[in-house]
Amino acid sequence: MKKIYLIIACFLPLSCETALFPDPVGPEREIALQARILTTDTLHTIHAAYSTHDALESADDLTVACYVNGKCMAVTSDSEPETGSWGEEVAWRAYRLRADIQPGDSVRIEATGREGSAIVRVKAPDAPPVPVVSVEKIPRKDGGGFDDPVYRFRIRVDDLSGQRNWYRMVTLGRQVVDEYRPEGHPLYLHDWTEEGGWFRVLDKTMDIQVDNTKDPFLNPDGRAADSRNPDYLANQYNMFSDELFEDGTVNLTLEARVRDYFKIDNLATYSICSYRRSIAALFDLQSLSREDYLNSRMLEMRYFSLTGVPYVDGLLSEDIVPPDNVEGGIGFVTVRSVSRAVCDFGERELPDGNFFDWPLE
Amino acid sequence: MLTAVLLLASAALWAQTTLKNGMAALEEKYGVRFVYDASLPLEGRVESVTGTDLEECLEQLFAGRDIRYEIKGNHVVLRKVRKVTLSGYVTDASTGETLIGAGVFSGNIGAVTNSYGFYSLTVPEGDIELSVSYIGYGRKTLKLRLEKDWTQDVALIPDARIRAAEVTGWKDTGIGATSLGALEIPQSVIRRAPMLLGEADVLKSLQLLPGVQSGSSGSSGLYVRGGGPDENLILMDGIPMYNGEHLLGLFSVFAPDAVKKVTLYKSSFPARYGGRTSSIVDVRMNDGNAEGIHGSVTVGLLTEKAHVEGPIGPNTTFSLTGRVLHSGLVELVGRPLGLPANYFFYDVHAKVSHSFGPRDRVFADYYRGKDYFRTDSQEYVFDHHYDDNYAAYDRYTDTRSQFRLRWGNTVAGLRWNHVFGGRLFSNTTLSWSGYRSNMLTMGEENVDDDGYRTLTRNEFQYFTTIGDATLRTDFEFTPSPAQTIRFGAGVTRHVFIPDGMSLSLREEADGKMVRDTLLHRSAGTYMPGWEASVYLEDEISLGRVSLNPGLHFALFSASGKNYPSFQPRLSARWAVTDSWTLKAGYSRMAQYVHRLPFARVNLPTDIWVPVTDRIPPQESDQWSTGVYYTGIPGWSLSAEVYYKDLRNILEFRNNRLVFSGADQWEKTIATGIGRAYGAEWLVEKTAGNLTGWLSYTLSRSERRIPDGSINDGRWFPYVNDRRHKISVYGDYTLNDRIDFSATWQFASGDRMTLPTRHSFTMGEDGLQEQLYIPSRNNWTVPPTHRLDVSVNFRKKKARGERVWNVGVYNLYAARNPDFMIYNENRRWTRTLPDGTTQSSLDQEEIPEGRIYAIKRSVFSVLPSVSYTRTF
Repeated sequence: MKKIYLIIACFLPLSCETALFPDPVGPEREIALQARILTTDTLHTIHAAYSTHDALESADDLTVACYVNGKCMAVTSDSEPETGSWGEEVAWRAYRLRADIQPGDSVRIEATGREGSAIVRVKAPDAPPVPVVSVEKIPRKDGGGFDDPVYRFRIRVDDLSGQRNWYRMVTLGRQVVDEYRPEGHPLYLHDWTEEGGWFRVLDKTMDIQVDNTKDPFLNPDGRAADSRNPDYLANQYNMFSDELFEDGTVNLTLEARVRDYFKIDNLATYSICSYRRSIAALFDLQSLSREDYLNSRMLEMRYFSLTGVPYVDGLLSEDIVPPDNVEGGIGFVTVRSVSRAVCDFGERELPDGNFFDWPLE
Repeated sequence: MLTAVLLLASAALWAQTTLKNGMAALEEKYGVRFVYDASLPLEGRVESVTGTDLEECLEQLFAGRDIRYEIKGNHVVLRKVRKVTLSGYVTDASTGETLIGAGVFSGNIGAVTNSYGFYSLTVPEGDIELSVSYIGYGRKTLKLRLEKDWTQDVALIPDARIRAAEVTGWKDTGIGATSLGALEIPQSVIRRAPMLLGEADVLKSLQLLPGVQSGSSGSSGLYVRGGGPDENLILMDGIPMYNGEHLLGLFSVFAPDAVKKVTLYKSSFPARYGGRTSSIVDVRMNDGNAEGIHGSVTVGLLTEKAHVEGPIGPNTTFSLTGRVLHSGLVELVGRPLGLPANYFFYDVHAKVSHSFGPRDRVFADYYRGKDYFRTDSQEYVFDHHYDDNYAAYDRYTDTRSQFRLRWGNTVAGLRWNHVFGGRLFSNTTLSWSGYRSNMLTMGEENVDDDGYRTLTRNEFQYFTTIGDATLRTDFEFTPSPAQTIRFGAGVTRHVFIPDGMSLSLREEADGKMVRDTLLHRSAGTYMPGWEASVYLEDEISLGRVSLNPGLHFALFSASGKNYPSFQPRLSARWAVTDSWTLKAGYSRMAQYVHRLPFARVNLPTDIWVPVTDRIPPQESDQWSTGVYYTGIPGWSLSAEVYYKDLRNILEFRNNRLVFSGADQWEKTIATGIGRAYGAEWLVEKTAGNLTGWLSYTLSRSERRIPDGSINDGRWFPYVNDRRHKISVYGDYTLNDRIDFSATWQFASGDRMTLPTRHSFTMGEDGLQEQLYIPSRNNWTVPPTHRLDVSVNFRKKKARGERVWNVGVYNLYAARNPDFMIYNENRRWTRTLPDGTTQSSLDQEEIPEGRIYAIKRSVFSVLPSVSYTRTF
């Protein structure tokens, strides 16, 4: 498939090249902000950097404030360095602010530094109705012939009426493990007490990878995303608008492997203890602004290099023009209102601490 | 004094009186009696009659009236003059080719030949003088006595001295036409204007006209008044063609030797045309020489061309034209000899015309054009291997791979012209037009392990195709010299298959089939559509004012949805004086098919798709007006302004997909609105040894996507928004043996999207650095300019002529932006042989990390030479 672009690339070596240096446009340095604020969180992270014509620079001198409905809820000048997906150091820094933001709130973020100030004004969308979830277990075998069942979730989403809406369905799993420590056996762990009893040793919420290929609404073609075929948009983040069911209802079908909910990492267990575990599947229905939705759908493709040939890539693709709602700077800060549905798989005692024997009821 | 007054009074029988009083006066003076039918119209007044005898007086009395007189003794018989229709074909006397747009007139009554060379003229019975003229031909005058409808074919003798200024009569294009924006590109310009590597090109000749832009330098793509390249309806003898280009747009599919006439409509489209929103390019092909076998052979730097035409029997002619790149001939021997890669294209155009008599003619058209690109590789490897028991064996591995890419058009048509009684002309066409692009990759590995052979072969094919079958009939009715009514209807069955593919795997071991599997096969998304249209237009001349109102109605049905479209059209022309003319026009157009192209390069894998239930037809409304001056003999000047409104235009969303099939393309595009406006000036010299023109276009073209998916819903410049365009064309005939031509073109740069600074973004999967782009198409590329020259050296031979053409493309080696991309100024570190490191930047003139643009210029100064021999 890539050979076709060699037709064009064949011309390029035959040509002569001239570099052109357009005059820089805009201020030499300005504040760049990115953030995604969820109404279910109380601690929010504003990512900030200085944008220049030549590089992205660290912005550790900012004072960032968060106003909710005109009232200042938090101010900070402390920031933490961040790392990229490969662990590399990146230019932007994280400013954390604690604030309670509800659907419908007007949020204002102000960042002030030596180069001036940048302001973002954004409104939290209305909270969507809580989705209604039902689940069934589908027996499957994996490639080695072992049982690898999946949960098939049917999620009813009622649209917010009277307006256009854009959503994302986030699937999470929550696992809570309590440990019973017998009285009088403190062992060598300094945090044990003589009294004994149940202690919570794990309370974890994790991302769950779901398969939307069975859902004709989220994935009409029923195909999974494939890195070898970057042309195909599998809607891997399960984003949708209400264009086809405005003021109505849509039923989504998502599948996830049962074992993904029951995975345990790095939990030390003791033979003298007993355990109980509760598992739940969480469905966060996020309500987004139109710009937020469009931006995310476009960015879904950003990692793909079209041909691997830089000149040809640049010739054949249109770059992303991102949304920008930062006054006095650049960037995009959004607020998403979240309604959560919980599908509780219940609690189970595990007297022998065997976390690999998940219930196959 | 009294005597003088009396003498003057007696010289005129009356000063002014009624016609009947005038007749009474003649009856009394000459003792005759008028005899006539009571229904004969004898109203009105007449001026004084100063004739010296009865006949002279009668001539003056009835001048300008449809009344004929006959003196029979003492009686003068009056009769109403009947109108008769004179019709026929105007042809080239040396070849028999019909001439389109020739002027035919008798006194003040005139007409032009239609697209088939046919004319119809309604004149009073009796003696008339018929005058026929055409550019490049000597005028012919015939004296005819008409008492009934009559067919009179006229053959004109070519005379290269006759220039446009010497041709009078009405025209269907240019200043004389009712329609604005209708321009004919003369054959001389197509064949003599200097072009890339000396290859005369029909579509690139159109780029010399005001309001027509090209894409990249050297491309034959047409951007007409702010529209895209797929918004032009290209017709070959009335049959639409989908891909008018070879070699990524460097050459058009029309071999100039086969072309008779090219007309471009940019605005005030006649109602008979529809289906595209920006322009109509009506290319008429030669019918064939009726006088004898003639032709030409041309050998140039890139192509060979051959053309032959002539009669097959007394009423049948043929025309056959072929063109091929030199590499196409090389392929015949190169491929068997192992040439690893090659590219070539070819065109074949054939036409047969037969006349069944003065009223019926049939034509059969066939065109086939194809581009072909291939690579082949083969590798032999011999090595030693060991089996599980550590025994050695020899392995021969023969690895082959193939890549084939073919694309091209096929057009076939059958046409029937029929003349009903001289005033009604019809053309009925049954045609097929198809475009197909096919790609094949094959990989094969043959392994021989000491005689044990295995074969693995995988093959992938992808194709995209579109085909139209059309039945259409057009009528032209000329009830009077001042009126021509055109009407017609057509129906087209469209079939689109944007994405057929198959993937197969074959494995053999020791000569036995292990696996022969079709892993995936898709016949492609079959997208049919029906298109029906009817139209009516009426061209009326009311003295100095002429009007052409019309209505084109179309209905397109696809994906279970029907899209009707009423498209009113209106052109008006007012000849204020003999030198000054004003025109105005309005057109609504609709387009039901789209080509999904790349930003600047048209690739053969571009797909044509129809409207769907989610993608409505594109529509445009265009208003235009202009003023024209022809008061200086041999010169014409014009100025036009236009405004075009576009709806449902398609734009690729950000980070668009390069190779999307029909199941994805709707998700990758957005629909929006557009607007384009501008002014065009044209100064043309049409007489003398030096002819040519100077044109200037000032224009603007923008788009907006209201759903916000592109550029946040704001207006942004269209990719081909070039502010200024200047074209100068000159053609100088030194003598019969040498002629020169030159073109100089300047165009402001088009647009590209250029980041301005560094930033970062937040996707669903986290943050990443990204260059910041404030808006789409935010930067203007450097302008394009170029001077091309060519000279022809002609020599008459015993039979025919030989011509050496020598030309230079881009004479002063302007470095034009043929491809534009951007890059980030990066630092590179390398280790030298002595172990030290050396660091450098891509561009030392600017800071590290700065974004800069890269201009790639492919076509520098290119000389060309070609030899043509006509016979």
